[in-house]
Amino acid sequence: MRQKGKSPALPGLRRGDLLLVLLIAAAALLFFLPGHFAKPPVEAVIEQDGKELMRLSLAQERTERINGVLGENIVQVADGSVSVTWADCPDQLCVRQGRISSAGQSIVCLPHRLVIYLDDGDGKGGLDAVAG
Amino acid sequence: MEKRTQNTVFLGVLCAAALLLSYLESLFVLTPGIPGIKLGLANLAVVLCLYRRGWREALLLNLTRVVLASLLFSGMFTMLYSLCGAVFSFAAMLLGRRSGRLSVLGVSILGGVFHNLGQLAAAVIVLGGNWVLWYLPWLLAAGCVAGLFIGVSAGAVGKYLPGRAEEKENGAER
Repeated sequence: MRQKGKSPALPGLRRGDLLLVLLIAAAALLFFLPGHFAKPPVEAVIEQDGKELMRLSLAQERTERINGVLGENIVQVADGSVSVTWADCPDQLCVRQGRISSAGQSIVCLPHRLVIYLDDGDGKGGLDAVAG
Repeated sequence: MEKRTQNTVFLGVLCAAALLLSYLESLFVLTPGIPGIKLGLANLAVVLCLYRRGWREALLLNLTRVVLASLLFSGMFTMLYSLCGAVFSFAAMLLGRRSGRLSVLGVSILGGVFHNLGQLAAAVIVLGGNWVLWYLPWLLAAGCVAGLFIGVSAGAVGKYLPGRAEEKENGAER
């Protein structure tokens, strides 16, 4: 890196910028890596407003309709993974998040304040056990 | 008095630009399955204002455009998240700029990353936090890329914007 940073692609890039990016990358890696050492998940935990609604075993295929105060979601468990297949919220982000299958991973439906995350069976999310 | 008028006009134009960018962004969805990942084009106007006018004007612009954009495009429920992201992002950009060690690229990267952290903080308050750690690395990376994009754009657009003379030199070079 040249001292005054006159690279043509990124004019004015300074050493502080590079340090900042490295710092962010390091932080991201720090939070990313534990996920790879987590045990396979055994349960899907469904929470609304921070309170646990139900736990679904991943071994058993099923479809649940979640009737919240704020709206409805349909949650499907199949092949050891979970997805939201339908929701009556406006943004449909929870549906677009697709299927999740590793511990600690989650689907969030902000409009309905609904969180679904996968648990490795230690009573905590896979990531909490490592990082927390 | 003339100075005030000039300021008002400049802020009005930037605010209109920010709203237009918000609207453009709401038209196409970038989300690859993770909520909250977007370019944050409207932040371009805030970065430019921060460099050309000063922090008071930029803060005013930021709050105004968040409230207006929420009312116009996304609805009241997202306003809480947007505001939280905007306030975090603004504080980080201001400190980054004051530190004197970052170019506009670094400042806008800070803005992108802290916008995401602010929104995540709001989501944790509403939802509880068992799921957060999985999102963090993605939101950090996405904020970084989006911030870089906005920083490059701000550098390119900034050359054509009128501003205070001394600011112009600093802004263009830093």
